[in-house]
Amino acid sequence: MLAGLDVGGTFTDAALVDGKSGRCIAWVKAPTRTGAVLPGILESLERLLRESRADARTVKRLTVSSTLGLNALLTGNTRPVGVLALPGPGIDPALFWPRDPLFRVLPGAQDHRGRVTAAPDPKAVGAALESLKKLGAKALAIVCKFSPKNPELEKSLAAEARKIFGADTPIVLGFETSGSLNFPRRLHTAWCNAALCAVSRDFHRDLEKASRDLGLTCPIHILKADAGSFSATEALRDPASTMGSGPAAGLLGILAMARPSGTDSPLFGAADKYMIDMGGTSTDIALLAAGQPLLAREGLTVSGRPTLIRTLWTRSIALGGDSALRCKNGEVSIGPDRSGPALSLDPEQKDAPFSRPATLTDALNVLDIARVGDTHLSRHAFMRMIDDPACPPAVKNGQADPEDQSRALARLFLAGALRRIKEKTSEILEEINSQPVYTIRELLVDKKLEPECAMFIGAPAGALRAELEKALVLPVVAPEESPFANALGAALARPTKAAELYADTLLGRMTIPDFRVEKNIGSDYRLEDAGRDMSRAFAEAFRDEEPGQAQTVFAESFAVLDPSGRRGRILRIRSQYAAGLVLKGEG
Amino acid sequence: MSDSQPADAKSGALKAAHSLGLVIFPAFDWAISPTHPEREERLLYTQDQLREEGLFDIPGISEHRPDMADMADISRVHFCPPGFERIVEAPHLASAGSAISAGRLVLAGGCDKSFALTRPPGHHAMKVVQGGRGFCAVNIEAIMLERLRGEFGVRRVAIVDTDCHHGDGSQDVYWHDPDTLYISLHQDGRTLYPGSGFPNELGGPLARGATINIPLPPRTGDEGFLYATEEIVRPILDAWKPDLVINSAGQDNHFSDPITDMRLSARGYAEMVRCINPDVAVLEGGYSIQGALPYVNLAVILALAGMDFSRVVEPAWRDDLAATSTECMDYIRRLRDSTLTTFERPGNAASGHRFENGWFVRERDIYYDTDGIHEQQNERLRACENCPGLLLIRTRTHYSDWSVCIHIPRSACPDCASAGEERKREAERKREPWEFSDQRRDIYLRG
Repeated sequence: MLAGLDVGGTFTDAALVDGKSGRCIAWVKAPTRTGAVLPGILESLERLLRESRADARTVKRLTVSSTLGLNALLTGNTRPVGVLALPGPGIDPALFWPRDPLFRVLPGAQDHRGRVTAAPDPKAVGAALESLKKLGAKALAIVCKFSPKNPELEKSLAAEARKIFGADTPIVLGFETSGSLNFPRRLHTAWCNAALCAVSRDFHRDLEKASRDLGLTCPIHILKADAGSFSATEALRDPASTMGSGPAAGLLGILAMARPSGTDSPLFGAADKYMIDMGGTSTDIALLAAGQPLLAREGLTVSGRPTLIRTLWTRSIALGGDSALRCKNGEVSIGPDRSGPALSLDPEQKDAPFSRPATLTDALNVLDIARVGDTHLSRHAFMRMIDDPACPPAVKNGQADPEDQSRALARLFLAGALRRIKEKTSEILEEINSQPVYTIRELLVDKKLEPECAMFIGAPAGALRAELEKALVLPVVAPEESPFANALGAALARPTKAAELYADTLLGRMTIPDFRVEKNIGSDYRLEDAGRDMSRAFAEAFRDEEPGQAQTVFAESFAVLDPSGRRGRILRIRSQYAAGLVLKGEG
Repeated sequence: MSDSQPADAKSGALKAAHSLGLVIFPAFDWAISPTHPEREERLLYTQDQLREEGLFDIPGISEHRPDMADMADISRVHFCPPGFERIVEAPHLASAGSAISAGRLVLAGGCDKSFALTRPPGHHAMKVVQGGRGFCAVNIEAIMLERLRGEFGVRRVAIVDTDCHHGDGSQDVYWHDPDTLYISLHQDGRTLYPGSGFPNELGGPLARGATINIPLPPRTGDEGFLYATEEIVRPILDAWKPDLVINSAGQDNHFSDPITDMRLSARGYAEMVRCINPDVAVLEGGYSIQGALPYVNLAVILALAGMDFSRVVEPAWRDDLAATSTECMDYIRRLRDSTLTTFERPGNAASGHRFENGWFVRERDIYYDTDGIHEQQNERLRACENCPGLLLIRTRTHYSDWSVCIHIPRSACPDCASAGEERKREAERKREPWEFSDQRRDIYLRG
């Protein structure tokens, strides 16, 4: 059995799931307390075990999706972070870093191969550290440009920092946050990790203790924004990655819910598909590429800070069940503003004239596609709209019955809404498929994303499924709404990891920053050796898991000629465990 | 593709004043040979530098996928007697395609400016292509420009070539075109390949003054280059009033370049680009791939985007490199006076052509260093008073017999056009190998 916990803003949901079938055995909902997530977690876990009468020892893993980190950042409940930045040549960091008295730019630089081109100035480092300490920094982020290729400078500064700040102050190095190249994002990511160290440590300590008290003996995992999980130990080192896991839990939940029992429908295999989530105000579109959630190219942005945290790729349109409907000069418009709940659901709107526009849900009521609330109110609102001189004249063509005219108008609104979704999906495909490529081979063998179906969720999804299917000209599945989808998704999350390897045979150095691996290499180090080192790093880090083979995203080898005429190779590999459900036959 | 909250992800103070579209095509799987300066790793470090700077998170800076150019794009510019299939490979189509994509970003893609960081380069490829010259097979700027002219009706265009080598290919393609101003700043041809680009090369007899050469002495640094740009290039551009300015951005004037002898810095390059203010930049040469390219390309990108580049200081920069000698500056000042005078009154200065029965004629020998081919050319331009004139080029190499290339320019008059048609029929009658290009109708044939 697997347990999943989703800490939302209002409720903390817990689910107990059969690890083989993916079936939900039990679920509970408990209120989330403001300011403290742990009580809600304890309450829901305790009730889950009690109500299911499950033996706590049979739970194989507990996976938690929590807003703790995000809330801590948003509310400023974090430790003050001192930053040492070594930008070297390039864009002035003052341009991308917010005004911050704890931010220090220092001399010392590494170049694009990770070679130290300017040594740090020990005096300047010492002075910066002393002043940060005096100003109350309780955690440090130390980030040098190109540190994924060589952590040397960051490490030397960390050693200096230890002398001044002592052993207990969290010090996050840029090298440890990600192997991706992006200095501003690495700075922000390291800052987030440093800021969250303390709050995350307390949370994990309490969570660990509480789950043991409840008799749980299983490993505890935390859900990440990339729709995968990692162990609580890793979460302690990289707390920032746990932010933004809510949408990821939702996506996994839908995948789990939509699994038809015992069928081999192409909808649930490796096909590319859209995930369309229509809420009240907006419709969010995510993508599964070859069955795996598509991730943003760079990373999550948290309270204005662009980071390297891997996260789902999503796009939104301001269109939902509550979008305001209006007629203007014989044309219909939908949104972008929200009118509020459907008029049919609004007790204030009993007495016409209505104080605000009808909504998309009202239009669905008029068309008998939905039956939400007092549908009479929706009809009434449309009767008024067809009398408006701004109403499209086509609505009245050849039909005298005001009910027919209302339906014709509602049909126009619905068509407009569906067209917006259709247009957005085309735009999304264009955007994704026009990503840059860097080799002749990629340019010639151009693999494009081609969704074969769509999963459609949210309140209006059931009612609109058939209509959306017609508009997209694709099969559309609308899994039933479930109060425990997110907790289910968390329970079924697989561990994920992405790692980059850099090797430079002329410099004799190989690094895999994501696993904090560094080693010296000989001139005969080849791509096969690098591949083996990468596999080994994955295997060692995931000893207790059974995630299977890591996928290689790219493996490149460049012949390099030093200005002095020495020949060598630069190797780059990116590998990953991609997100998906722990169930067999998924992803 | 950017991330899920594109608006938020972009930080506040960091913003491009001019929106800039980048087409980066490093062709990681292609080289002339493993140790050739034009090899796989050439743009590797630039790409890493740009990524590490977080460049693509900056509001207003975007990266785009290249299109592939096709044979029609190539034949709009070049004659190729051996047959395009023997010279042109996928990388050349990708590189020319990158330039085209960059051009389209400005003319139809909503970008204020664009830069194609692509390889292989193209500015040594001439109108007739018998093989590879100076690491180039086809002229990527010309291929872009002719496509843009066809698609968007762009007419008056200036190409400012800031590669250290004289862009003899671009000069040759536009030698007879009065609608294309070609300006080249380069290391003096007496000291560097290809040995041309002297101030008296001013364009063909019907396009005098539309070619401007500014040869600079070896070891010219930022001061000299900036003076030449501000005092020679800028006034000429202002006077000529192009609809579009293209920069052939060769990065080999850099002080660390291994195959040239100039002293420009990354910031010097950026200031030069700021002064030229091109709409589209296309990467040409630059072979100091670790010490120069990452920094020069970054500084040039920041300059194009209208951003601060003052902190792009190469690790190998030394302040004593900054000075340009007094003699050098005196020479450039004299060059300014003479260049501006000739630009205003190109007059009858020798054009290297002789006049024969209504035709301007010149004979040329061209060497293809990449392939070791010698070409012999006889070029005849119809002395027309109404248009740039019909161009006939007879060409042969020690591998091939004479063939004739017939070029009817875009703005040809009916007489020149029918004379061209007639020359094609004559070649067919005589069973002489021929190539025919009618730019007015966008028709390219061979027989």
